[in-house]
Amino acid sequence: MIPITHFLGLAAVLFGLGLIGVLLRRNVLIVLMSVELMLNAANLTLITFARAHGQSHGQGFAFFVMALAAAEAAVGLAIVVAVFRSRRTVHVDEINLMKK
Amino acid sequence: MTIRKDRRQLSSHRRAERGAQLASRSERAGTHGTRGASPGRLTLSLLGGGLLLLLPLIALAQDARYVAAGAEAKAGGGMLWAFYIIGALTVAGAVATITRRNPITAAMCLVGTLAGTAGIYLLLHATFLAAMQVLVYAGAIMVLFVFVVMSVEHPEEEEILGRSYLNLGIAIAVLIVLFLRLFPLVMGPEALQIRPPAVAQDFGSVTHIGKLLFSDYIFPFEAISLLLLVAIVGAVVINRRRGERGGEA
Repeated sequence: MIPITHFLGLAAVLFGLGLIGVLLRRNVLIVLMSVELMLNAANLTLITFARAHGQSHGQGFAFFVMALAAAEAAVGLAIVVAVFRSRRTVHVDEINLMKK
Repeated sequence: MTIRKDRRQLSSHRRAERGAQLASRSERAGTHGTRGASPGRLTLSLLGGGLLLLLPLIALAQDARYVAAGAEAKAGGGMLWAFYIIGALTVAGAVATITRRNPITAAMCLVGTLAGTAGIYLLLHATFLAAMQVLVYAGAIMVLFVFVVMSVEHPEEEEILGRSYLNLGIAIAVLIVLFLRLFPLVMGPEALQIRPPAVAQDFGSVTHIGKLLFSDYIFPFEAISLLLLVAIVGAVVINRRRGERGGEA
């Protein structure tokens, strides 16, 4: 049997990589992909603890997170397309209209 | 006669010029595609590669510890190897996602990561969620991503370790904390002791999760369907052109 800590370690690595992607990339699409990666890592943690406790409530919650990720991707990508239409860019540093 | 010859010479000259242009363009594309273009990308790739090399070493050490721990623990050795192989692929996809410059490549690598996570879910007896992971994430969401990636233009050059040293500092700090916390977690003495309980055969099946969603979680279930509806309407409203705004009364 695989120890529970291994799954938690994998989830932490995925979350860290997603966080690094969000912090360091400048292309807003890659930033959104990194956010998906972080949500995925959180899901993996939920499912791991569902297995560790032998109860499926964590899996139900992971299901909701998945639906939430779908909604987030739909709205996020719609905003990206709208911003690209008016500013002709997907560069995070150049999307600063709300600061002005 | 001479004029025609001249013209032919000229056209051949032009063709040669265009050929040279094409060659230089493809050369440029070639150098663009190879790695080593920016030091930041190289650093990230090396970091990810080092992480990947570390995984088999951990797997070997863990296997040796299982053999030392006894025959009962060794019975799950094959599953452990499955975990390490799928986990390595998942991490490799994640590293590629955040290092590739081309967003299409990054999206494809993310599909690999999501599929790998579905494999990990199977190891955790979450069969329904593994299927949903492939259908919803690797299917629907990534198709949306690829569609948007193709409909917007991208800057030729993107500095990955850009001017933001604050962000770089935060990222390095996160990495250090992560590894300081992870190493004892995976390699420490308590890693062998924590064992998940045995579960029923239908744990995580469609029936199991379906009963859960429609009894205990019926209110969140309806709420999430409302959220999805709002997200759809929001996406349509955000992308309406300006002229259409006054269209309806």
